[in-house]
Amino acid sequence: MVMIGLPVMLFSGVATWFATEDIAPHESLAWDMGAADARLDGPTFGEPVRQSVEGGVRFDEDGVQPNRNEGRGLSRQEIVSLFGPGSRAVPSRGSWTGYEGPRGYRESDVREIDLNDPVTAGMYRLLSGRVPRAAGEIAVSPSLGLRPGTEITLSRTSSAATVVGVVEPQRHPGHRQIVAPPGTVLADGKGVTTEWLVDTPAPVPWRKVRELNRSGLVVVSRAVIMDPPPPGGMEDPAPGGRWNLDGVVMAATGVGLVVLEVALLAGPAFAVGIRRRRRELALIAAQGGSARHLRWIVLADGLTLGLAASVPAAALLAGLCTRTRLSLTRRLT
Amino acid sequence: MSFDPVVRLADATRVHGDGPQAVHALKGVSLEVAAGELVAVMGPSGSGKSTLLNLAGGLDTPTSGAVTVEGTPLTSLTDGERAALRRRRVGYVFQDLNLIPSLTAAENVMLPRELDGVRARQARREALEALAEVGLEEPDRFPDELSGGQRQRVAIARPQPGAPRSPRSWRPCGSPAGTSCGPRGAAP
Repeated sequence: MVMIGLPVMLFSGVATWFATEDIAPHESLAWDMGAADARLDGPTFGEPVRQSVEGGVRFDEDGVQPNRNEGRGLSRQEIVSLFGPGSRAVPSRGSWTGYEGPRGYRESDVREIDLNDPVTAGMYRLLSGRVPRAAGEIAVSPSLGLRPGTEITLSRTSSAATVVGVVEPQRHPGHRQIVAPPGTVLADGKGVTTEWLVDTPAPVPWRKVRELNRSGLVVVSRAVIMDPPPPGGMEDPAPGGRWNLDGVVMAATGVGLVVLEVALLAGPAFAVGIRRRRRELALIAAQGGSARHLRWIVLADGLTLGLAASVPAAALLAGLCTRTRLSLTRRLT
Repeated sequence: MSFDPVVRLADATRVHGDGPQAVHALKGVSLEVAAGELVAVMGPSGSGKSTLLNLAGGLDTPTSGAVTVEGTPLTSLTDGERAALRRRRVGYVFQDLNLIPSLTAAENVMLPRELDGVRARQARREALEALAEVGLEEPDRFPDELSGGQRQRVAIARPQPGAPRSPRSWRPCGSPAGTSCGPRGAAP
């Protein structure tokens, strides 16, 4: 059983490790875009773009990525008009800043987002204190090591800000981040990237995403992530299919190798086992067992042993790897 | 349906190996056993008693000659058909009993019927009846947990379950030491 269980255990461990390496887009929807129906990434490109379902921008045929710097930022009104009446756009602006805290000068990511807005629900988890509401109030991620009530000086504004809460960014729980209400820290707009969380009356379909792509906009839509269009359509291909041939070939090779290894390791053991049971099999034959019956008995033996060894082994290591991966992801990202 | 004789060997020969190493275990034996008849085969060690019983019970086929069990010539049967014949028409009670150690008494008795495709529940019912007939009250014990006499009773019950209860049916009882064989249910 060990001879079967061990390779199966190793293989299921490796498979689980790689399978859980990436978080699927639909699993991280709330982390990435809260309760919004769509997220508009960055300024417009100067030209039509082609994007993946997850918002990756495709290289064109020459391998040249469209240049975002040629584009421009959009105003809230422009965005609302793009998504139609009844839509609401909430900005999420990010940059980098230094700060002077109790332990001296440090640097951190800084994000301006209104955590009181229900559209941001799920993006951050409040660990202690409260979310910032006014200018001069900030929340920090746990890795900054600051407690509510601490005062720091942000180098961007050269003014003091009070830590009022500790929030964990759900997408990157270990990330160093300062969260401030909109327009309080990144007012000068230097090196700032803006994403818009858009709340629309109706789901944003893939057709709408492509329409916005033609205006140079990259949009991640909740509806599209939950129900992606079939990849590789002739007229409107969604680039970046989930499966590629290389991956399938690699997986098939891996499975083949494991099966071969199990056969090489456990095969001789089975052969010895059958030799040892020759007398018993002969007795069954004397009682009227035909060659087919004996084959079935040996096969059932192997299947029972194989299942008893491999199923718990696979379950054990898959579970173990998933747990390890989860805790590692939480700790490292 | 009854047959007379139940077992017929006509000039049956069994040679093991070939060339200079060939061993003539049985040379031109002819034998007829009638239904209900008790036949004892006796002879010194190596005289071919076991080979004779192996041929008569369909465990082996003759090199030449013919073996007929209940009107069926064994030489014309395939391996699978001979196995079916062993399950349905022939029963062995070996001298050293040869119970399967990994099966309980009831399972040992059930085995031929189960191999024959009878459902486990029915096979078990028949096995329990057969074991009750020979007076064994611990059907769920393994052979190791039974006394010598109990094991012997299991071995005797084994050819019986579901068998046609015709008084003419004949069951050879082989023993490697070649002491006796007899009708169904007889102790070796």
